[in-house]
Amino acid sequence: MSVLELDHVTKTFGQGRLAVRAVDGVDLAVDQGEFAVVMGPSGSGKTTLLQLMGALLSPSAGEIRIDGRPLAQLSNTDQARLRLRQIGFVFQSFNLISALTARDNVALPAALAGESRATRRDRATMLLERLGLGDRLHHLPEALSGGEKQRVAVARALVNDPPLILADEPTANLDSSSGYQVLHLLEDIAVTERKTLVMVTHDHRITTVADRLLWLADGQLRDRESDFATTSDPVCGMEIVIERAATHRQVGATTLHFCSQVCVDRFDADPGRFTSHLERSRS
Amino acid sequence: MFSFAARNLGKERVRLAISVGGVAFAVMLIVLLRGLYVAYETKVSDVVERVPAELWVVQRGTADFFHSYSLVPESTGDQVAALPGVAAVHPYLARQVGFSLRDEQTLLYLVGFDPADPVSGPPEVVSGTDRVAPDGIVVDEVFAANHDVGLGDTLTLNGFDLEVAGVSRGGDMVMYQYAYVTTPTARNVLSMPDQNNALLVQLAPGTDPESVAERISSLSSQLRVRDTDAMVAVNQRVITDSFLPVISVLLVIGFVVGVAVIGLTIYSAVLEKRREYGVVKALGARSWQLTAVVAIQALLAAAGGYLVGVGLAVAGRQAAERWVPAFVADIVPGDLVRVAAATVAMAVIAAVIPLARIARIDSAEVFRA
Repeated sequence: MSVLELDHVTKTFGQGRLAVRAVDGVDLAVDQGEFAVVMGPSGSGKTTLLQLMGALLSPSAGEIRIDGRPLAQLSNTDQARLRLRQIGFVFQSFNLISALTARDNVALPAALAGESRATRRDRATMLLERLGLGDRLHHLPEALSGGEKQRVAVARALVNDPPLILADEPTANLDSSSGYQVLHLLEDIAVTERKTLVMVTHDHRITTVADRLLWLADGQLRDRESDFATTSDPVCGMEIVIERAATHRQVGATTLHFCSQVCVDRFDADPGRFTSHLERSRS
Repeated sequence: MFSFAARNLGKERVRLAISVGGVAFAVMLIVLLRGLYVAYETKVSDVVERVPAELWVVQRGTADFFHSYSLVPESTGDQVAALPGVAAVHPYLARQVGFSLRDEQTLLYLVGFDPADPVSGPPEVVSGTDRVAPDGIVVDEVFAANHDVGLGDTLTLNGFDLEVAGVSRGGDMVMYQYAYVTTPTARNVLSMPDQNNALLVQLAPGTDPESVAERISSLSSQLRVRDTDAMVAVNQRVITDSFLPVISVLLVIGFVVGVAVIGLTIYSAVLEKRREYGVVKALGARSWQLTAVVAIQALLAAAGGYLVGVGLAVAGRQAAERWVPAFVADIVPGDLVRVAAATVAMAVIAAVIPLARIARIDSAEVFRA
């Protein structure tokens, strides 16, 4: 059964000529216990996609369902309740509350959910001990290392026992060793607790532990990176997805694709400078 | 939520100190001003209430003893004394007297009384005696302190030398203080050999005051009879009309200062921690929970400020009583309850703008690195 489903989800920012499609017609279903990783370059729409999945943004088109419930049908209050009970968030910048100890940070979502003081403290203590932070219960975030902060954040994501964990670049601010530790921790959670885990990341180390690897480029999602037809912009040399190219020029039998109007203008000003290699290969 | 709010507030000690200090200043100002007002209102009513007479006979048209000058012929006293239901009639001579003391002009409110039956005499003697001789005078302790006057000193009023025989308490009216001499001496000093400023009427037990008042009024169209409550009311109106507007403005300023201090400190705390509020919102906090966090912080700052402010006001009053005898402030429980309510109102009003800012926080912001 799919815990998370996205049907033709599109998110557009701005209007008219300034409109930007951050997420473009994404279809996705993630099953219970599945560890799905979304990779892609900066600006490809990974974080926007995660915000949509987490009911923090509303799609411009399409439908998102969590446990079969369409998010669009939920009021703001119900969406907040859903985030509290059904989703655990792990952020790139940890986002711990500076005035609260590690234990109270973990207990915070349980407090928001109305759990008793004793229950939430017991649960937070148990989680932190399980994640190897039993001796850091009463430490403020400022006294914790990056890896410890992220483990506290993972514990916080788990405290209300949500079926879905959304992680945004959880290893980006960690050193190599701490990054591995957090990756294996998340893998372990997905495997042993049958949590559905969706992670967006640049971190290629994750490819070995993920159940499914997805690629996002210019807001479009593919199962494999090779599913995108790509080419190099002849002016700047950057790799671009052909169907998202700003425009193209035909040079003989060759179609040249450009990342932006800037490169097109440079090309039009002196085409020979950028097509000499084509001439040579033809001759 | 309480723990989160309290720790958020306590984490920034300097900001908390500014917030509590600002509210404390406002509360102290409000408590002392209100205390000052109550104290003067009490003073004015006390000088009337402590006189053991049920009725005051004054000249028609007399408003109060501060702003108008009542003259009642001495012969009227005999007529009133003869009326049924009247147990005793005492002459009341009381008037401001300006005089020179060590080359400085000063004022006393001179009251005549009978040392053997001190109906209008000093309320409390703190040193010396109130059994004064015809050339003796009892002065208020505030006058004595302000002018460095002590027992045995001589004051010359309208050419009459009077030796300070006693020092009393409870006769300070800010701009002048009460002083007491024998009634015959008062007649000489005030040049009122056959006139009184009022007659103090004591009734026989079981007598209806209204019927006696009617009988007295029927003696002359120039007489006006008031009971003690009415006398207190007309005298208190002096304070209400002159001080209340000024004190009201100062109270409002104190309130606004309190609102501004709480509002600015809580607002700056919200701005500084908007990302954390965004995190809490993203985690699933509902609007009322975020509202509660901000409101609790404002209320805690206000409560701390209230306690410190009341403490400072009490300490300030005690210090002032010691060093500035003219300063009086009656801090009464009812006023402390009202000031507490005003402090809660400060917190509620001050929380409005930070709450509006919280409502605009975009929880999606927390995904930014």
